[in-house]
Parts: sequence; C-alpha cells; structure tokens
Amino acid sequence: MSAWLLPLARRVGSLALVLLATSFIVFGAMYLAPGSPESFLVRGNSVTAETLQAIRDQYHLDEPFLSQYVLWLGGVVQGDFGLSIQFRQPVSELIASRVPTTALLVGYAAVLILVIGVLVGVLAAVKRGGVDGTAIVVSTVAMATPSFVVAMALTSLFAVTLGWFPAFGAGEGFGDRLWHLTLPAVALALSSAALVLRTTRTSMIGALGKEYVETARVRGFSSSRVVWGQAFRGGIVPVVTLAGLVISGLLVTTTIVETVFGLNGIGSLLVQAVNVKDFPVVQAVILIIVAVFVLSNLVVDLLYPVLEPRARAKGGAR
Amino acid sequence: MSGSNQQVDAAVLAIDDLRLDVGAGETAVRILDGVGLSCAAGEIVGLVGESGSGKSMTLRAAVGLAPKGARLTGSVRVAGRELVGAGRREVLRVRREVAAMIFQDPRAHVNPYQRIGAFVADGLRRTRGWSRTRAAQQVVSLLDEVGLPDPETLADRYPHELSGGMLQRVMIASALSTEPRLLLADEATTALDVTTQAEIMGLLRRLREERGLAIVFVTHDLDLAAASCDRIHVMQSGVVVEQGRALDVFERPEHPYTRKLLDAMPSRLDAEAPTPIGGAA
Amino acid sequence: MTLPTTETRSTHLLTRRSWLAIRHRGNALTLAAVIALGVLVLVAILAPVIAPYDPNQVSLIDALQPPSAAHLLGTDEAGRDVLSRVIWGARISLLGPLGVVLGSTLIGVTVGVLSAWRGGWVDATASRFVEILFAFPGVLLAILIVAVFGPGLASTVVALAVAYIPYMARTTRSVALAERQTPYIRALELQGMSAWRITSLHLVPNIAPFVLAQATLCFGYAMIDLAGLSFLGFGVQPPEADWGAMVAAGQAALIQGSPAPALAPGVVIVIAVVSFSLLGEGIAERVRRTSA
Repeated sequence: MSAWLLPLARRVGSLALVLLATSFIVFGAMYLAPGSPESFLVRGNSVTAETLQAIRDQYHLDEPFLSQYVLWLGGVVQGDFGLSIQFRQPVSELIASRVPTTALLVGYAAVLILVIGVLVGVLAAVKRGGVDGTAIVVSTVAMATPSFVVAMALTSLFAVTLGWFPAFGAGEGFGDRLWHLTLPAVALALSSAALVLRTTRTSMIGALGKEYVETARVRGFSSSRVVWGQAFRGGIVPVVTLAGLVISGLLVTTTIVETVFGLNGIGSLLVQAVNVKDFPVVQAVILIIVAVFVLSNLVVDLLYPVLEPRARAKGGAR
Repeated sequence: MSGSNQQVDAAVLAIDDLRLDVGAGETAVRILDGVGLSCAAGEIVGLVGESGSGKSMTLRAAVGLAPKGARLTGSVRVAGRELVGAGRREVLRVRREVAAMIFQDPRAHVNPYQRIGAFVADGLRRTRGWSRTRAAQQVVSLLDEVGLPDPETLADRYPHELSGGMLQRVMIASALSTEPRLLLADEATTALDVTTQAEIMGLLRRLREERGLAIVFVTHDLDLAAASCDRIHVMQSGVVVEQGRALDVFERPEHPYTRKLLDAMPSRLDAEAPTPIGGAA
Repeated sequence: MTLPTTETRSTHLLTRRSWLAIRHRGNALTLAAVIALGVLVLVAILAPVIAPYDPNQVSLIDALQPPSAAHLLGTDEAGRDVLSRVIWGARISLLGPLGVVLGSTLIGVTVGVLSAWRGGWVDATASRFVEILFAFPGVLLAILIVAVFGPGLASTVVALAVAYIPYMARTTRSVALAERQTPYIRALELQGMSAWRITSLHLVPNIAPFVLAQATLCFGYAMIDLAGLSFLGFGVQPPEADWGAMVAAGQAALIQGSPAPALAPGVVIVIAVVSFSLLGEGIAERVRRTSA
C-alpha cells in the first residue's frame, strides 16, 4: 500500500502546484492589462461609485498585491468567485445555473466518443482490409476538422435541409434536450472520437498479436470471446488514459460549440463574459476548466494501476 | 513409423502427407513437404529439429493454426476429425474438446490481466458454460494436480507474481481443464532452467500415465526428446528425415542431419544422456 | 530465444512487402500533402493576381448568390465574392499558425536543449514549467489573453505560441537527451569545445528533422485553434478575410439555406490541416527510418 502511496502523494502535490500556478496566472492577468486593475475590471461599463467600491472590495484592491491574491484565492477555494460585473450576481450561481447544459452536452459527446471510437477502432483492428482503410481515411479527415466546421456542415444538412434536428437551443425536458443536443454533441465529439478510434485501433492490433491471445484461440474460444474477453482487456488501457484527457478537453471546445448552437452552458458563458468584459466570470470559468482538466489527469493516473496489474507491484502511477 | 492403417486409426493425432505453402508466384515458399506423424493415447512423441525446420508449424496445423494465406494439403486427423479443409466450427470444436497446447514462453502466453484462477477457469466457463463457482472449484483441483502449492491463494494472484516454472504449470492446468486427449507442447521447457525443465517433463510423463494423454513434444533438444519420448521424428526443412523409437534414433541415427544434431550438443550427451528423468513433483 | 523459424521468416517476407506498399502509399500521401500546401502557399502569395474580385467589395444587390460562372463559390451576405475571400484569406490563415509555430519552436527548442544539456535544477524547473503549461489548454490561455488585451490576431498568436511551447520543448528535450549520449558529441565535449558551439553547430542541426516533424504537426493544430478563436471573434477581426472568421460570418446565411459562404472556407481549413498532419507524419516516419 505505502509503496504506491508515496508516488501518489507526489503526484497530488504536483497537481496542486499546477492549480496554484494556474490560479496565479488567472489572477495576475488583470495586472498585465494597461491601466489600473479597477479601470480594467469596469472598462466599457459605466458604473456608480458604489459599484466601483464593491469591485475594489471584491478584489481587495486596497491591499498589497500578494495579499490580494491570497484573499482572492481563499474565496475561490470556498467557491466564492465574486460578483459578475455584467449580471450583478454571484459568479458561482451564474456558473451553477449553466453547468447542467454543459454537463449533459459533454456527457453525451463522451458517450459518442467512447462508443464510436472504441467500437469502430476494435472493428478496424479485427477486420483490417476495407473496414480498416475506410476508418483510417475518415478518421484522418475527422481529426483535421474543427468543431465549428462540423457544426456548420451538420446544421446545413440535418437542420436546414432535412429538418431532423433543431439548429439552436437546448430544449426542455430530458428527451427534448437530448434531441436538441444531438448535433452539438456530434460536433463536439467528432475529432476526439477519431483520435480514440486511432488509438484503439493501434492498441488492439498490438493486443491481438500478443501470445496470450493466441492461447485463447488455441483454447477454442469464439472470435468474439478472443477479441472482447482477452485482447480488449489489455488493449483498452492506453485508450482509457487518452479518453480521460480528451473528454476533459471537450470543456474547452464547448466554448465554440455552445456558441454556434446557442446553448447556455459554461463555454458560451465564457465567450459572452469575454465579449462584455466580465472578468470575474472569465477567471472563474477558466479556473474551473483547468481544475477539471487537472483532476481528470489525476483520476487517469489513479486508474492506471487498477487497469494494469503489473504496475501495482512497482507502485502507483508510472 | 510403420504407417500401418491400424496404428493411424488408433492414433489421437494422425498427420499424413501434410504440405503447407505460403506466398504466391515467385515468392511462394513450401514450409511443410509431406509430413507424416501419429500419436496414440498414452504416447509421447518427440518432434525434433532446428529453428525453421517446420516442427512448430506441424504442431500448429494440428489445431488448425496455419498462418494467414497458407495453403494446406494432405490430412490432419485429430480424434478422427479431419482438419484440413474443415470449417471454422469443426476446428473450434477440436480445440475445445480434444486438443490443448502449451508454449515456450508461459509468461507471454498467460493473460497478464487475469488472475490465475480466472485464466484457468476461462476454458470451462467459455467453452462449457460452467458457472463461476463450479469452475473455481475445478480450478483448485487442477492447480493441485499440476503440483502447484496452496492453489486457493494462488488462484487469486496475477501472472507477474509467479515464476516461469509456476506459470508453465498454470498453462498445463488450463490446458487440462477441458480434459483434452491430445496435448501439444511447443518447446514447453526450453525457456526454463534445467531443474524446472526436469520437473515439467516429469509432470507431463505423469499426466500421460494418469490421464492417458497423447503428447506431442516439440523441441530442438534431441537428447531431451530421447530421454522423455517414446518415439521421435526428426525434421529438417519441412521434411521428416528420420523417425523411430527414441533410443534407436538417439543411439543409431541413420540420417546425417540427425547425427549433426547429436554432435551439436556433446556436453549434454555426456551429462544426462538417455537416463529417463524420474517422475518428480 | 529461438532464431526466426521458417514461419516467422515467411511472415517477415509478407510484412516486408506490405510495408513497402505502405511506404509507397505513405510517400504518395506525403507528396499529395506537399502539393496541396504548395498550392495554398502560392494562392496566398498570388492572391492579388488570381483573385477574380476584390475580397472586400460589398455589393448588397449581389448578396447570397449561389455558385455560378461569375462567382464560382457564390457570394456572401454582403455580396462579396466567396472565392476571392477564400483566396485572400489564405494569407492570414497561414501566417497566423506560422507565427505560432515559429514562436513556440524558438522558445521550445531553447528550453528543450537547455534542459537536456544542463540537466539538474535547470531541467527540473523547465519540466515543471512545461507541466504547468500543459495543463493550460492553448485556446483557454488565448481566451484569457483576449479577455485582458482585447481581441486581435496578435493576442491569439502570442497566447497560442506560449501554449504550444510544451509540445516543442518535450520533443526537443527527449531527442536532445538521446543525441547528447552519442559518442561524437561526447568526443566534442572532451575536445573542450564550448557547450554553446556544440549545441548550436552540432546538436541542434542534428535534431532539426525531429523538430521539423513536430512543428509541422503543430502547424495543423495551431490552424484549428486559431480558426476557432477567429470564429469566436477573438482573433482576426472582420472585414479582414480569414477562413475561421468567414465560417462564423457565414452561419446566418447557412441557416437561410446558402451554405457555401460558411462551408467553402471550412473545407479549405480541413484540406490544409489534413495536409499538415500527413506531411508531419511523413517527415516523422522518414526521420524514424533514417535514424533507426
């Protein structure tokens, strides 16, 4: 146990350092802007003297720089990101109201990525030949297609021409929401699904060539047992590692996809916040996305020894 | 081999005039050229030759494991079932019910992601539909039969926690799980140290006696074959160049290639010549 | 271990043949990528000559015309010729990623070589720095910079250049570490040649192909990221012709049933990015083969 507790502690420490550095960058960024921080924070917005004072208080601008940062960070750790300049509402509430849409969208996309990427990847590795060739060509193009181009193509075909799916909005109720989120989820998922497909394919080709898979064949297992019962278990390990990063990376792309499809998630919130110069919201959303990114890194690291028995003896993460 | 019909019919494995070609046109290579071999219940037949002689390929043909794109002619009968030209269903049936195979490198051939118990139990669960608990009980008795200590705990361990010799016993246990009549051993002791090698050979001989297994033992080591097998086939370049009773081949080799093989290992010749290795373990 | 048997030898033969086939196909693809990129670069340079119309010529009467002989890709919502805008857009759409790649390569190679050469605390510090940047997705960093300095190509290019440093630094560090162990670099050290001279005259030129492969791959990613930022309105500002911004501007027309103004630049982005990734893979494959 303690053999992999130490590397784990080291890993957590290094991730904490990454988060700390990120928060410092996100906080310090407003000092890079020309002019004073308060003029930067309110720029473009006409504010009353009270609001200005509120902002000065929120960022503790009367304190020296470092205490400003520490005080701000103390609030952030407790979920207090201050007040939105635009909405005059706590940033945390604003974000909380936006999270469900983004969570559903990212979850939907994640399911598409895993199901399509893994299934087609395994199929390409098993069948080779034409299936494989097609999968490679399609995934090469898919990986090179930006989400907004996918979004446009899907909108043009499935929303405008065929009218099967709506081009805007998130819908009401679960079924309707899924229907509304289908095109956005596909746009969000496509290039990542292609990447997962490629990784699965390569990894499964390697796994299918392993001697223990030959053992399973000699034992008379059916093809599907050989593939899913024997080769898949080892072949999936690199895919899990990749999927963790890819799926948390979707949060960044939601900025584009939510904007295109007019969805009220945290991605479009970030874009709106930049446009209306609502810096507290910008800080909060960026920090949250980086935190999710870093945490999923940690989860993947923790999963590795679970998936890879041989790594357990050597301890924790590789 | 006498080649009489009677013997062929009684044989668990009967290979006759087996030819195998890969590639096409100018790049075509004949890998096996008229190989004949038989192995009866309770018999250990050695298949000896250097790397590339086609001995492993012959063994693989006995479980329908020809390389992709290979063309096979002749006859391979396992427990009376013809495998050359057989459908996939028939081949799977032979693998599940009649033949089992063990390999040179057990560490690579045991699934590293499965616990030992699950690995051995898989044969029973996947090919006979046994329940997890029923298979688990059988696994313990199989692990015990192949001489592994403390089978209950062992079943919960992962392959990387075991030594090569122990893993080879695990391989044998998993091969035995479906009660095969034919055991194919592909250089099964080559990667092991001399003591472990002797133990595994002893185990195979014991299983031959107790279970009446027909065992085909592929090796490049002629004196190991002479010490452990009843009959020996010597292969060179895809052809069986010499065959006969183990001691005869060892003491009175007729083919120059066999003599060359014997000359290649003088040190071992003196050390442990054909004194049969006793049933250790 | 046993020597290769006939079986494995024959499969060697087979794999060798298929490998040759793949190599031929790979070469053909790399060639196709080079040609496609060559055409794009030529188009960018010759834009004033080959563009049939002024890309910013607004003509509301001609708005949203379907593709025709006069306007091969039709016109956009302001009546501007889409083909001409795609042609002119090649300039900024290629220059942006070029800036990102040049910046990140310059700094990344310096950091990578330095940490490989000096090791110790330099390496440890640089690795930490790289690790922190890795956790900060490029687009997010760019959005932060835009939020502070306002939108524009310069902000996004600088931000992405910084965000891409880790990719260049990691590759450089690992190949430089391997190169450092080679006997001839050792010999130069023993001869007392200065670290600066060894690295600049010998080490960097030797690892250049690896760096080039990685930089080419990054070019494609940078193009996607920059186009996305322009699409959001954070990068290139209208009315300047940029592929990403053109897709965004074309969204309204697309929903009204005229997809060409949005899809044409979109397709060109895909072609460019596919070409960069094929070229990058091609170079990487070649480097692997010659260094193996």
